[in-house]
Parts: sequence; structure tokens; C-alpha cells
Amino acid sequence: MTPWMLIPAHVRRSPLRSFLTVGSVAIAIFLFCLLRTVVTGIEATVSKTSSTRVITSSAVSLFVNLPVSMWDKIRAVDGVRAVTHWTWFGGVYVDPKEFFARFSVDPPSFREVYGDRHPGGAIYLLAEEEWTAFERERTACIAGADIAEKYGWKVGDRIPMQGTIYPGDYEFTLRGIYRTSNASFDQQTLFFHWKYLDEMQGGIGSVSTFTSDLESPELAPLVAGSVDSQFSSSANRCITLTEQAFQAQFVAMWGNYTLFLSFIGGAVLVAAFMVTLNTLLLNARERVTEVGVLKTLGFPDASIGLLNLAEGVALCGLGGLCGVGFSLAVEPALFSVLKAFVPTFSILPETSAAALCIATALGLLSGAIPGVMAARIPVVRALRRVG
Amino acid sequence: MAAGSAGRRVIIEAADVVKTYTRGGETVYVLDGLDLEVREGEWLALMGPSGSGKTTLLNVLGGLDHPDSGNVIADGEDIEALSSRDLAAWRSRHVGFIFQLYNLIPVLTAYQNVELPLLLTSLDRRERDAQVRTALGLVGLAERLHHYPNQLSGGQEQRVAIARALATDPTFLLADEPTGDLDARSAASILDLLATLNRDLGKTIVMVTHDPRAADRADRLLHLEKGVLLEQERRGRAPRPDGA
Repeated sequence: MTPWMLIPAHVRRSPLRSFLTVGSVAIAIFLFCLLRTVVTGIEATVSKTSSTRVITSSAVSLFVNLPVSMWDKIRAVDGVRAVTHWTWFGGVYVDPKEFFARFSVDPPSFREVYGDRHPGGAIYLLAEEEWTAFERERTACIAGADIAEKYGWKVGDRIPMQGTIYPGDYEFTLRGIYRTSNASFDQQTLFFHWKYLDEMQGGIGSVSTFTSDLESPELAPLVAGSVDSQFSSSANRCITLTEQAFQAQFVAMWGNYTLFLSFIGGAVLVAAFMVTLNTLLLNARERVTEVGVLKTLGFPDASIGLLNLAEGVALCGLGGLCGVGFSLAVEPALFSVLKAFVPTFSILPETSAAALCIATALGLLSGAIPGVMAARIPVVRALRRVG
Repeated sequence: MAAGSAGRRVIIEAADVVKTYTRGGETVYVLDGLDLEVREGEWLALMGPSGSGKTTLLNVLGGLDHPDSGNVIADGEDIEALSSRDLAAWRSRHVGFIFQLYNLIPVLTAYQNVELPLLLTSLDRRERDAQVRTALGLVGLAERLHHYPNQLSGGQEQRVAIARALATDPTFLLADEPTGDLDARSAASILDLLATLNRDLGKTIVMVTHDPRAADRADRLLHLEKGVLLEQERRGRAPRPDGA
């Protein structure tokens, strides 16, 4: 029999100390949930990409363009249903700090691959008249609903843009505000005509990547091999990857972010462990006499050790619940901040469960040391601390 | 030996008990071949200077400390043969401890402090509740059930400690200077309470004290010096303050 009533009584005994301990664990668990969700969000973004699309980029670097003349040759490869191309524009809107992705594309083929003309359904959702307006007007652009909301853009608005990679003063007319049907695709990108860019630059003749939509996913290796071999001996060697592999390669450019984020999360958890251990050791030191009294009354050593262990689990468990609860409460706010980088930011039940397990483990570890000390101290020595 | 306890069975028997400590490389005999018998219903007082071994003897009799050699038989059981766990269980059944500084758990109410040892019994919540109220009623604190130790006077705290010691109806009480931290009036009241427990409920009490007035209330007084029983005073029961 263990005198469990002592646990809430002890927690209430030093409310500030208990509050700070619970708070430190809660913050650590909140950070764990946040960092873990960034990792799972990125992984989900990569995994939710299509298996019928392959992306061709320069074999030298993602920052090296390919000649637009390759487009026809790729379109001619067996198994390819449609091909479109993307070109990273960069540029400045109002202020360099106002960052969002801007790409020039070929609207008709873009609509074929990602829009309402795709037989499998559209990823970028626009009304037909918006697609048509985007295709028809050379300075037209479409923008994601999130940036349109952020900047208060409405269809018909003029959007000035200063070129950086491709210098010049551009002005686009917003002809559509899209939403996406797949969480892997954000709603914070602006697309405009590649031909407008080409014209402004006096003929750049190149694009960043080609995206080929295949007749079936099984054709991906054959198409990739065929495209790459066509240009293997040219000055424009290319590499063709599935959309998933391409995204994974893109993410890999950030470095080993999983290790980095795990390191930060781990360091915070270790700090929380030290805070909790320190608190429980202080508590145990103050309660040596109580331990002596409990042993005198006949409580077995194991029960007394268990009491410390349970106190650690109670404090850390409470911190864990607060941390997970807070994470879930602020999830929408975090999503709005992070969606440009992690479009699928969502705290998974597995993440919450792992956070609670970690909090419990922290409690067990923190409670174990004072628990063993309390269980092992001889009763006479414990009572001798009196007075 | 008091007339009341003469002829009764021996409830605690210590035989040739030796307890030593090593201090600065030197062996100090705290208990040096001590023999002692305590009979059922007896109130025994132990006196002696500081360091004479009184508290050590009390700890050994209560199974809190182990002698280096010798035997302690309590209620027919050789407590030195018990494992640590069994010894703890034995203490909870047979011994009620009363400390000089009360040693109540400060975060628990008087009720919860008294309930603590009952958690080790098979009593259910209702039975425990009855037992706690009876014990606190016996020490005159039925109205202070939900007070915390810091809301009680020293005398009241000691009464709660006595109620806690009594709650499980132990075979004997071990009191280590129970009046040592109290003013004269509270001390007299605690001694009256112990006398009532001994006389009316037949509780066996072994009490360590420095206070001659406390020792006077006991049936028998032993003097300890350097771990040796120097003299043994046998006396009749001290008269009650009310003259009865």
C-alpha cells in the first residue's frame, strides 16, 4: 500500500516550484510537438506527390536552366501525355522581405498538367473563365488564396514586381485566385506567363524544369531513362525524377533537417529533464524526515521509492498534457505561419502520443534517482535529520 | 515492578544486546551487552545522559535499528530474524512510535496523519474512518480533524502523533522524549494522556526521557549510562494528579 494522497499534497506544498517544473516540461513538449510536426509535415508533403508526374531538371544543378527547345523532344517520348515547364522568377514585391514563390509557366500546358484539363482532376482549382483569362492575356497572373488574402488582392488588381534574376519592372494583372486540392501544394505562389518573361528579357530561351504527366505511373522509369538518354551527350545533360524523388532532393538541399530539428528537440528535453530532476531532488532532500516517519510506520522501502517515481510522473505527465494541449490549441496559428514551408503542417495523433510517452519517460527518469535514494536510506539515518 | 504488571507475560525481551559505532577509528559501545524485559501493560521509563544509548535502545526495540549482536524478542517474535520488508510489516502491526518533535507530515491534516498507518491494514475506508475518529477522540482532538500541523499547538501536535501511534492498536508504544519539546502544562497533559492509555487501555509503554517528572509517572525507571544499565528502580504506580 502506497500513501498516494501524499502526491497531490506534495505538489501543492511548493506551488511555485511545481508550476515552474510543469511549465518547463510543457514548453519542452510543446517544442517537441512543433519540431516533430515540421518533420512529419515535410515528409507528408513529399509522400503525397503524384506518381504520374516526372520532373526534368539540369543534371548540373537545380539552378542551371534548360533550353526551352527540349520541350518538344520530351513531349515526343512514348508514355508522356503532356509536358509543361516552370521557371523560378524570384523578384521583389513592394519589399524584399515580402517573400512568396513566383514562377513563370506556360498557361495552356500548365492547365493540361495541373488544371481542369487533367483527366485525373485539377490540383490548382480555378473557375473556367479564370483559366481562360490566364491563358489569353500575356501579363495575366494567378495567385494562391493565402497570399491574395494576405495582400488583399482581388481579381483585376495590378501587381507590380521588380525582377532580380531577370531584371526589369514587371506588372501583372491578377486573373484568378486558386485553391489547391492536394495539401502538398501550397496556396502562396504566383504564376505568370513565361512568354512575358521571355519578352522582357529579349529571349531567355530557357526554363528551370519540365514536368511531364505520364499515361501511367509504371512508365516513370522508362520515360525518365528515355528523356535523360536523349540529352546525355549534349551540353544540357538532364536528370528526370519522379515528383516525389524531386521533392525529396529539393528538401535534401536544406541539409539533414531531421537531425538538426531532433538535436534541438533533444536538447530542450534534456534541459527539462534536468530541471525536473533538480526539483525532485530538492523535494526529496526536504522530505528525508517524512521518509523516516513513513518507514517507521511500516511503509516498505519500495512503496516510498514508488511515491517519488509517481510524483515525477505526475509532474511531467501534467507538463506533457499542458504541452500537447497548448500545441493543439495554437496549431491553426502555427499553420498560418508555417504553411509556406510546410503546407501539410498538422499535429498527428502519433506525435501527441509520442509527446505524452516522452513526458512520462521524463517523469520516470527524474523520479527514479530520488526514489532509489529514498528507498535506500536507513530509517534511523532519515529520522536523525530531525531538528 | 508495578503491581499492575507483575506476573504478566514478558512482551519485549532484549538479551545481551550490543551496538557499536565507529568514530575516528575507535569503536564506541552504545549498547554494551544489555539485557531488558518489559512486561505487558508496563510503563517503563529510560533515563540517562545524552549519548548513553537511550534512543538507540528504543530504535533497536522498535525494529528501526539492528544490534551488532544479541536478540530482541517482541511478542514472541525474534525481530532480528525478519527481513527488511517483514520488519516493516511487523512495526506497522506491533509498534506505535511517539517522537519528541511529533514528526507529523506537514502537508496532511490531523485526520490524514492518523489515517496513514491504517493504510497498511486491510481495513476499508469506512472502518479506517471510524478508527481515525476514535483515536483522535481519545486524545481530545475530535474537533481538529481537518487542521494541518501548523494550525495546531505543540501539545495538540503531540496528541495527533499519539493518536497516530494508537490508530492501529499496536502491541506497545515507544516514546522518545514525548514531552521534551513542550511547555510544562502541555507536558503534564501529555503525561496524563499516556497514563490513561497505560492504566485504562493497558498499553505497554517504553519511554525515553530527561524529565524526572515524566519518569515519575512510569511504573519502572531504568538508568542507562554508556550503554549499560546502571541501576533499576522498581516502584509502584505514581499517583495521578487528581489524587486517584
